[in-house]
Amino acid sequence: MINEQHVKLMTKMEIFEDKEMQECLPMAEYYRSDYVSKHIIISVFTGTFAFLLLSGLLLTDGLEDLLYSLDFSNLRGIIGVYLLWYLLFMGIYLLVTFVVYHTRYTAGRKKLRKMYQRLSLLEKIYEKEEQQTRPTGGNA
Amino acid sequence: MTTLLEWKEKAKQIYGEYGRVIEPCAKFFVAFLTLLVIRVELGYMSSISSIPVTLVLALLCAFLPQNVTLYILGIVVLGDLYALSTEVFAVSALLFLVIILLYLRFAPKTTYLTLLTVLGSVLHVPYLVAGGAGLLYGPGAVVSVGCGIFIRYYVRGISENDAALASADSSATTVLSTLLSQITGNREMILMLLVLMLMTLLVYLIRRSSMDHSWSVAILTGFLVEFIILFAGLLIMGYATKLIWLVIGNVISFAGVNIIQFLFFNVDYKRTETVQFEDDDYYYYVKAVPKIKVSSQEKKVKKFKASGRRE
Repeated sequence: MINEQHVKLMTKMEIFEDKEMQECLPMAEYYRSDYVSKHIIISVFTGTFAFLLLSGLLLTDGLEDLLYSLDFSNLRGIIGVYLLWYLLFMGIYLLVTFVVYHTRYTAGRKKLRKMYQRLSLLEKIYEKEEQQTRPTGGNA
Repeated sequence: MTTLLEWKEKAKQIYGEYGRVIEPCAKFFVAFLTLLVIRVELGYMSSISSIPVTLVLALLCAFLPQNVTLYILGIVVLGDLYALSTEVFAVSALLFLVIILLYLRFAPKTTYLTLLTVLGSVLHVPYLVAGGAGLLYGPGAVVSVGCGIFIRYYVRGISENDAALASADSSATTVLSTLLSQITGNREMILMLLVLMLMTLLVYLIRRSSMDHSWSVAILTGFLVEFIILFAGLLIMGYATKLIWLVIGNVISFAGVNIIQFLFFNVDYKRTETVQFEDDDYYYYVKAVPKIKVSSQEKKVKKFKASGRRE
């Protein structure tokens, strides 16, 4: 006989698996610190690449004026200013990365917890069904 | 009011029943409209901007994930720009890459808002998207709205300066200089971008607060702040002719955002889901239909009159 509660739980779990499981899976595989660190490392690469592209575009545009006005004796100072901009840019970008993935981890874990609760409930239903169908083992 | 509430329930019921059809239709409509806008504004590559190709691409977008739609539309824009000038294409491709690197990897759920902001901006109602985004999405929506405004003005700038950008006399540095000056020197774009981002953030923050009628207060505050700053800003910059569109756009958007509030406040739109699974004994093919609250017409109110007699 079909157990109604069992079908309800399975359906809800299946819908979760279809829609959100893929997104929540990394939260089950990683600790919070590892998950956030992984994305911060990715952001270091993407942020640096984006900064190089943007600064490259802006520098190419003003290259002529820059070469005229450039005081090569103060090269260290110019590189220092460039690095300062880079650090400022990366600081903001990495802070945003930290906040986004920290929040996402919390939300994902919450959804997973609900999923596990349903799973354990399902397990209990199975155990109950098994006990009911098992022969009582009376003496012959 | 009762009739309106019935409509709300009906909308929920219709979405629950036909959500699987409504969603791809809406995605097709948005993609098709955006492709038409690209065709009118840019449309330099005739093969990619032809109506049959537009229809096929819109149809593809209807069934693909939302993020893929954005990439497809980006490729169409780049194709058109390649036909205009290689330099414009190269600079635009680099700018798009920066957007992908810095933003798109963060917010997969709100990227579609970028597209809607572009469309809203073309139709003079970007305030509707900014307000709606603040009501329905998280803080990531702020950047999506900003990206949409940036893309809209960038594409419009190219469309307005296409003759100069495509002329054989323009060197790569001239093209780059023209493109960058239309970004950094476009005061209207910078004003619009900052104000709409502020509006989305304001609406989001107030809507999330615990005050009474937070949704209504959020809408009113967002629109007031946006309208006052934009009105003053455009007047100071000397764009007095654009004030008419600002007023018309705001009136339509305010009405639209109130409809959004009415339809989505405290309502979780769920669509009918069809799932398959199995256990040791059976295969299950389940159709899960969302529960609908009883609409007022179906409610039966029984009135008891005081008879003045005690039993």
